[in-house]
Amino acid sequence: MELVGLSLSTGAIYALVGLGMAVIYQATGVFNFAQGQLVTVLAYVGLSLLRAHWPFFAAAGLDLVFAQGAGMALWVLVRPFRTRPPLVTSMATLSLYLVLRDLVVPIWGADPLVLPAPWAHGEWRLGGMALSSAQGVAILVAALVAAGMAAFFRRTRMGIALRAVRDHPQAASLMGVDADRLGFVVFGAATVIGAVAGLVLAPMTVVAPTMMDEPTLGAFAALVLGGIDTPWGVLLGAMGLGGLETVAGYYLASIWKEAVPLLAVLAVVVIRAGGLLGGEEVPRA
Amino acid sequence: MLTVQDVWAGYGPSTVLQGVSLTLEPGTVVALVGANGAGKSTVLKTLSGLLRPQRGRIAVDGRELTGRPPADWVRAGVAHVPEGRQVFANLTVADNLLLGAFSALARLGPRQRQERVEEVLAIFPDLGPKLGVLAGSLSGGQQQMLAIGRGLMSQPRYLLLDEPSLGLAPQVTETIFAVIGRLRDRGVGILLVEQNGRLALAVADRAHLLEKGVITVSGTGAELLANQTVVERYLGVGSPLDDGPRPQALAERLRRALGR
Repeated sequence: MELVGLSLSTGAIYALVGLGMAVIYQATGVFNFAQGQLVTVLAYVGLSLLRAHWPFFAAAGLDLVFAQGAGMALWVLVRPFRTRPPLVTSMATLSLYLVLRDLVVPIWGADPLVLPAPWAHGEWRLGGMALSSAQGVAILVAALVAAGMAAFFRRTRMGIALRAVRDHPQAASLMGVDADRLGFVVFGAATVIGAVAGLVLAPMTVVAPTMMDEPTLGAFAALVLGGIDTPWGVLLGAMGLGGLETVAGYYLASIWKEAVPLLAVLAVVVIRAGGLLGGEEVPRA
Repeated sequence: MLTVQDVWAGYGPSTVLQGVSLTLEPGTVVALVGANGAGKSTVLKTLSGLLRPQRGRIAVDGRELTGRPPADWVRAGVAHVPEGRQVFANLTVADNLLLGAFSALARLGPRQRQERVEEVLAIFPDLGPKLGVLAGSLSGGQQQMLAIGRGLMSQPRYLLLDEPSLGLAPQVTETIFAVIGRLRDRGVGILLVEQNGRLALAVADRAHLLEKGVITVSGTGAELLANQTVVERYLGVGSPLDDGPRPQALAERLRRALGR
């Protein structure tokens, strides 16, 4: 039964990172590899505030505000590349990932640090399943963020407008939709999700410059597995991948733990190109 | 009144429009006819902010909007229904309609939104049962109705229609043109770009022949239909642009239906 908890909490990590990437991808078509490293930086920012003796939730709140600003600034950086081919934008965001990682060390050092969340120590028991409270919080928050995102894209004026821009940029602008301005909203929201991810994930492990290297790859695979165009697909893909990894880690030699799940993802995509829940995109006219 | 004064426009270094001037009054239909590549769609793009003119002035009800972004044009009361319909295929019909009122959505309550949707459904009842369906799954005719309906959601005083009959069955074309007549009667000014020249001229109050970015002939729709140059260069019998007997009969029916 511990395997279930471990599967879900590993999946939650991938989901929280992947959902931030998916928001940006859905709205702008940019694949933001840097999302993972933004999670790291924002975890460090939260940690610094805690060390300056801010109460936890005040520090968390300020971290989110900072994230919003950082996301908007990021859009200013990424915007010129927006109309470039995905290869170029992916290269740009991947470079940003590495630059941010190298910037962390001189500021916060390379040693792993502990982020003391109020829920860091504790245990939840659900039936026969035992979860650390850090794991439980991560799973809950991942599900909440996915639900919030789904509602945003289905129900709100801005969410619907963003989907329209993806469908038909020219027609959307004729409706008075300003895609450039919405970019600020999108990048702000994605980075806020990143900050939430940092605050929720750090108590499960430690805060370190490379803490997101492996989860970023996992989130990427989860997006491919579940389908990047629906938040529920991202969540499902992340949980599926978390499960595969946990089971592989339990029954197989540890060197297979990462390779086997990725191979399984590829096998799924051979059958369903858009991922488990992803639809085939209607081609643009 | 929508006033276009000596507009030059093009894409990059090339110039398509070379000094186009025309006016569109509320409650009238103005047709813009001409061969492919004459610059008809380019005229519409400068009138909705998609394209910034290189020279010239465009004013809506006395307010100059030259070079302003599309959002400003929608707010000023101009709706552009683009060529090829361009409905949002992955969105529902209802969401497509709502986006038509995007620039006003923030200040519209749920009831007012609903009222606007119902106004459009009164004009295009076929869309009623399709509200929850993805726009990409509609037929071509329904997509054209949706594209026009989406444009009407902003409650425009000026409607720019780019090739509304393109690829449609005759009875659907008839529906669309009947709607054009009703909107005109309600006081909407309609600038109609059509490859089906006879049809457009049959319903137009005023019409212009656009050739290589220049307006060469202007007059009432009937005058252009009877004009030797227009018939020879553009509607000529036996030319590839000949509409054939069927659309002519349709045009005749429409003219009668619209009281022309």
